[in-house]
Amino acid sequence: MAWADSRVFRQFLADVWGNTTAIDLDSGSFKAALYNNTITPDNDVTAANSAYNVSQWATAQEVSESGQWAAGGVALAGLSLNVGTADVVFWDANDTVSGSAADLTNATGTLVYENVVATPVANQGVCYNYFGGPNSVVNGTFTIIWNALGLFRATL
Amino acid sequence: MADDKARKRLAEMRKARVDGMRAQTRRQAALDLLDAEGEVTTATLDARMQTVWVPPDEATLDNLMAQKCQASVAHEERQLRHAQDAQARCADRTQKLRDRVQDAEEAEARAADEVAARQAALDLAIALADAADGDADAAPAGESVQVSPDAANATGG
Repeated sequence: MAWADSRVFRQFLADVWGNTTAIDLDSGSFKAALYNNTITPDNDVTAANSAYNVSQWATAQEVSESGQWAAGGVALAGLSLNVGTADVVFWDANDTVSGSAADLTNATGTLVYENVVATPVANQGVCYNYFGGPNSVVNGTFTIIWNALGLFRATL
Repeated sequence: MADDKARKRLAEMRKARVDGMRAQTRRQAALDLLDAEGEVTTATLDARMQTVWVPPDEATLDNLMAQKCQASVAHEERQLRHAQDAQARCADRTQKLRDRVQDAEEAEARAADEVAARQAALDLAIALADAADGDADAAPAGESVQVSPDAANATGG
């Protein structure tokens, strides 16, 4: 199925809850890499296949421009785990912004992944977020305005 | 017929007379080389040679040598000018080739710029066409794009 929504990787939650991976959501290092509309994301894949530059997330499908939104993605800043709302916990970050002269074509969504923890899987995916369709920018700024409900949320 | 024979005889007699005169001249020349005793001597030979060749004096030799050297200098000067002309022609041709290389490099750069501009225009046209189809959002060149993805939900029961 083509890319149609935003999802958190099942194996990411299992690996964090099971202490299989040392990914730390509020103090780790994460990046957002852009992808075009030719991929078919699946949140039920293995940890290995959720990683950057593996399977659906190969660089062949990545949308990037050196110095603007470089291959491998732009680092997330202002990470926080928000528990201020009853029955909800969500992971948030500052909006992610390209350089001011970006040429990006058909950016359809983003893979958010951890880029420091190397074992058991390097660059393991956390979630992917759909932009609602392909978006392009020519010599401009491309900004991901993260949802008020965060990059991903758990409703309890 | 008799006249022909007479004329032929007369021609033969004239030829014999001329031959006799030439022989007499050669005989006299030989006698001039002999002294009173009829011997060929060094003095008579030297005297004879002096009439044929007079050794040049030192000034004449110096003059001849100078002329020879001047001719040699002139020859070498001509050769030098020829070499200089060839060098100038080669330099001119080298410069023309350099100019052509520079022209080609400038044309290549202009073509690369044109390709980049065309590619950017194509990308923009594709993005605008996608936007017209309602499949994508594309901003005109120089404008910014903002996307607002939904949060990924992990829902409990």
